[in-house]
Amino acid sequence: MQNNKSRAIVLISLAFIVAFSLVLAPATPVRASEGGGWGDFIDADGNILPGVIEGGEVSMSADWMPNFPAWTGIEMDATYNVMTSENGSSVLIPSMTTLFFMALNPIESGLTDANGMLGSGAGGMLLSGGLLGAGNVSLSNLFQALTGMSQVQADQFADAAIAGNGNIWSILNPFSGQTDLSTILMELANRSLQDGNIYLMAMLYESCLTSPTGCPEELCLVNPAACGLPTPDPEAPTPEPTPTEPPTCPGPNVEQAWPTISIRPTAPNYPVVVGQDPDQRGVDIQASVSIPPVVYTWYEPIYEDVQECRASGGGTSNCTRANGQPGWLRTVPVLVGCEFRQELLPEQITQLTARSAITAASRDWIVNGLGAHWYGAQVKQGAFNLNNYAQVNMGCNGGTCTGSLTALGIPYADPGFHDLTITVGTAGTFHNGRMITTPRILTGSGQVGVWVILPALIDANP
Amino acid sequence: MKSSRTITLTREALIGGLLAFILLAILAFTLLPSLFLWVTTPKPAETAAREGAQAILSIDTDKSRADWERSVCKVSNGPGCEVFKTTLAAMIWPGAERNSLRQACQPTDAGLVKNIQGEDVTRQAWSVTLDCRDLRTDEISAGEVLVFVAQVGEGWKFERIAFEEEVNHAK
Repeated sequence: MQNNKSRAIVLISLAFIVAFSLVLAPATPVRASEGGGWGDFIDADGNILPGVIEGGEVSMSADWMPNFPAWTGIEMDATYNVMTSENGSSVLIPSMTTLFFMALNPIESGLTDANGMLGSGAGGMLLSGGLLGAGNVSLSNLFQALTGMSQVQADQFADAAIAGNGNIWSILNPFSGQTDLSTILMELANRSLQDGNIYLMAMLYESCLTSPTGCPEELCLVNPAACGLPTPDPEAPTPEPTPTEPPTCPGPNVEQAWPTISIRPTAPNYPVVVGQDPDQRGVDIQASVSIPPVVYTWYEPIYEDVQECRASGGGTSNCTRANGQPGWLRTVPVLVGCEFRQELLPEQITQLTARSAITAASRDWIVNGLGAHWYGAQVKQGAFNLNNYAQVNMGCNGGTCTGSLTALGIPYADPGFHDLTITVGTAGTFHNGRMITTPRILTGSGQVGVWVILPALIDANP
Repeated sequence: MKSSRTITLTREALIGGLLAFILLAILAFTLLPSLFLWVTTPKPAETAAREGAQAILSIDTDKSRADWERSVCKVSNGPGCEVFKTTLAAMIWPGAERNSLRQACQPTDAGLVKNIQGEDVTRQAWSVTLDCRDLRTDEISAGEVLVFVAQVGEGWKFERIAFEEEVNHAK
């Protein structure tokens, strides 16, 4: 839709330009238009010639464009419509507003020479047309054609613009309420809308190699010489281009963060063996695990069906391939984009167990140290499963899976240090039924000390 | 030597004074809040200047150009919107995309610079100070822009931001 509109605009513009430049030019030749470059692009009726590549609207940064304050980070580009002919010549057609700003800075933008004569612009030859016609064109004429201002005012503008040093901006006083830029910009916008953005001038480059926008890929395929590429020998057999890997989307990515896992006693601060505790309180132990979601990122390919000229097909050839050989039109899906997708996948907990085991050093102390003074001292419990005393909770919320084990009043019978271990099993993660990460066994550890009260004989009569 | 003065308040004077005090209190309670509101509330033109500057400078290239154009046109007058959509947006957006510009701006202050009586339209120039936060780095840059607003009926609407060249030569 947009392309059709642009094409229509360019066609209307070119019709105007052709009407003046081609028909009137022989009678009143324009210095800037010498060479008649339009003939490469359009016929006398204003129709675009077959083979001309329409590049559409392009924007380029330009020193001579006005600026917004630097801190805003906003830059103003110049905008052009670009067309490239079969032989490689290229035209850049500035939009009306771009042309106006070129006129404000005529020398810097290459619109005029130091005397104000429209000349070779930005490295390309200037072609005039549209409302300007094809007569001798001055900067003043251009201001009039662009904004509809009077001859006197346009002369004043042209003099100030050529004088440079920002003189033109002194005329465009935003506080005057008369020759201010707001009014002029509105006039340009109105004309662009009403007249289909009629282009008044264009810059012709004899080769797209010297054009700021370069050579379009389509041209290089059909005319490599125009793009400065070596021309293939017509006698030599043209090999089929080496098949290249079709463009694909980036592969998926999996990010798995570290889980947090812990087990520790919570009360009392100094537990004693249950046999010595008159309240038989026991020890409270808390274990917990939190598993962050697995971040699964992937790109969904977006295809569009396009017609391509391929080497194989049925029936009579109906197209010509880039190498000049006959081909067959086929509708093929072409990757036009990759859509970013991301999901947070929960890694569910399948089991949570906790265990307590007396350390080897404490076991040795009970048997040998304590046993030497208290005959028959021995390890009563050693190791046991904390789940027997505990309540276990597991679940997932927002992609994060958590589990907890709360064991209250565990009756430790052996004094000393006991190693605590928590073991968590996960199911791994799945996306649309496909396993993304494998199941895991996670472990954490802690320690609890259990005290013993030993009576001691003290000499009462030292 | 001590001297004494006796002040006698008649009943009428006491009642009169009390009534005057009540009247003053009522006036204060009814007028002061609206007076405060009148002083502190941004005027319609100032609001238009603040909204316009915020809309045009808040460019997020992760969103679409159409979104940005809509946000500017929402606070602009008709001609300002047309100029923006047909010319300025096409000239600004490609550069913003090239620089991956993503910023959210918030006006912090505004002051009237000039009343401009044009032939067909009355404008005001406002100096608006803004804080612009880079949405990628959270860095904040601050500065002033000159904003033009135009009278539309009884109200005011944003028209455009002045170019640096205009500001430099208008001083």
